[in-house]
Amino acid sequence: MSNDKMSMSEIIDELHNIDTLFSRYRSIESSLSDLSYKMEEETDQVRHEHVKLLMEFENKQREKTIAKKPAPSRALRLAPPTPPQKPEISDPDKNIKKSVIAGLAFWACIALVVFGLAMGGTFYGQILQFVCVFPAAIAGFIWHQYSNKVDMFLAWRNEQKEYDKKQQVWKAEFAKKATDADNARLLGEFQAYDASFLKFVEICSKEFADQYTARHVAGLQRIADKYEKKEEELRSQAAEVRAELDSVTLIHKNLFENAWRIAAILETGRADTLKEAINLALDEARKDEEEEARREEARQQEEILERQAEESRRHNEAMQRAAEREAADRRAHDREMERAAKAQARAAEAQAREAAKQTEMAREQSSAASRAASARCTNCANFSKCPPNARKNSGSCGAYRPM
Amino acid sequence: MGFFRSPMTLIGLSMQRKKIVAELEGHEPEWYFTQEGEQAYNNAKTKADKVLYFFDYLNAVAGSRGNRDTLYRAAYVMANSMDSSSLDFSGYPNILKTDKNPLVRTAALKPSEPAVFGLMSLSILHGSDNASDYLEAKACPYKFLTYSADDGSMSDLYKIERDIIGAFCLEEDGEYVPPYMYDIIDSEIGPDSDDEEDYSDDE
Repeated sequence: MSNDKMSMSEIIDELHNIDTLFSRYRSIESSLSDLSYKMEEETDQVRHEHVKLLMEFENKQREKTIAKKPAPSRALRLAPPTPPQKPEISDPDKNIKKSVIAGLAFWACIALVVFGLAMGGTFYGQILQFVCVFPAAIAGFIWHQYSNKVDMFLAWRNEQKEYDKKQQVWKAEFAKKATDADNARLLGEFQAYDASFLKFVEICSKEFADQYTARHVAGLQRIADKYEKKEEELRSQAAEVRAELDSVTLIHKNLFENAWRIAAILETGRADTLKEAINLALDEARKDEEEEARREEARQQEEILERQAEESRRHNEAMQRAAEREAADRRAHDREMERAAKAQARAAEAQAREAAKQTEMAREQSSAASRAASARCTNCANFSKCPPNARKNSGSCGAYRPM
Repeated sequence: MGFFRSPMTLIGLSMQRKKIVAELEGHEPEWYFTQEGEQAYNNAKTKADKVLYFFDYLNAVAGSRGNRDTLYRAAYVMANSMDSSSLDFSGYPNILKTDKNPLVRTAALKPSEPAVFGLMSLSILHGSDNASDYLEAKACPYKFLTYSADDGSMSDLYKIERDIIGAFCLEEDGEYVPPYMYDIIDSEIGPDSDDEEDYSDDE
């Protein structure tokens, strides 16, 4: 039926019908998508299980089948493990030719001077001494500048001798350990290792081949069988609905999504014609989308602010805990200092008491001595003749005469 | 003290100077291909002497970045199995040539880790430049190795391969000793299989 000949109510009914068909189509598509997702999940599960069982099999077989790793050659287990290191030469200038020439020249001049002296006061002897003294001095000066190079060279020669000795020790150690028997041992162990490893690979390969069909392929087939019928049903329903929608001529297929809006606008009388209603519906749809976008943005902003507030709260809590810990540490420290001070004070007090006691004892001893002295004087026959000053030392008084 | 050295000491030092310096400094790689170098090779009669000869040579090739422990292991393999084998790189001067001896070529590339050195040497020995294949189970590197015959006889190549593995790879921690690498999924699927998608990691 063409649009022109349809009445408003027929148009509205047709729009509702389109909406129903379209919703049903959408629902079938959604079901197909869910089905596909479930199939994929179960397929992944089968694959995952298959891989897990294969790995477990491999691990078990590895422990059971592969021989012990060969032990490395004894020649690699020396002490020291590597050949001795050559001594480092620090001074790149190894040319001692000049040093030797200067040294030999010096000694030659000295020899000539000595020879000249040995010739005594003869003319030639004196000529010889005169001619050779200055060259000897110059050669001596130059020789003095270069003589340290000779010392260095002799030190290198000694290092080289030490190095040779260390090499001999190393060679002896190597000869003891790098034997044909050890070589044969290593190769024998490798042969056993090779054989066990190849057997292990063979067993695992067989397991892989067997289980690939038995487990993996069979599992996938089971899933395919399970969902195939359902999928076919849904696809056929979708095809039917699609065919019905394709036969719709009232509105363009791009507007099927908004068929309910168009119908509502016509029903409420907001538009008089289908064209007006379509335009209004598209406008409303656009506004709804914008509103949805705004709401989404606001929601995201709120999430960000909440996250920031949470982080700030956590940061503050952490700072507070740190401050409390610091205060507690400080209090503990103060208590400790107070305890130490009190202990010191108690010790000082005890010391003072002890000192006072000692003083008191000394005083008592002194007064006891005075009393004894006084009693002695009272019993003395010369008491009346004795001046008062003398009575203080009555203990050592020579004039004491008992009555 | 040097000032009072006797003339005889000075003359003796002058005559020995070059020898002492050469022995302390070591020789450049080129020296080993000279007559003196060949003479030194021929003078190395025992295995220990050969090890030291090859060790000095590898140190000269690797330079300051060489790792002494790794180079010693390489020298040991050269002296133990390579030099007396019937392969291309045995004997003087082939044992020293970079284009013939895989261990010398690897030393020139200067890897320091023993396992890396060993696997690079093996890959060059087998004619490949891709040492990473020897660490990946997918490439089935155990297939590149030679194996002993059923009667237990071992070829020279077998001995050299096992010497290299024994010197460089046995101390590695792990489930498998490289290049004996295996994974029941990767090794069976192989690098170019269509089935690779079925076993993609879905975790």
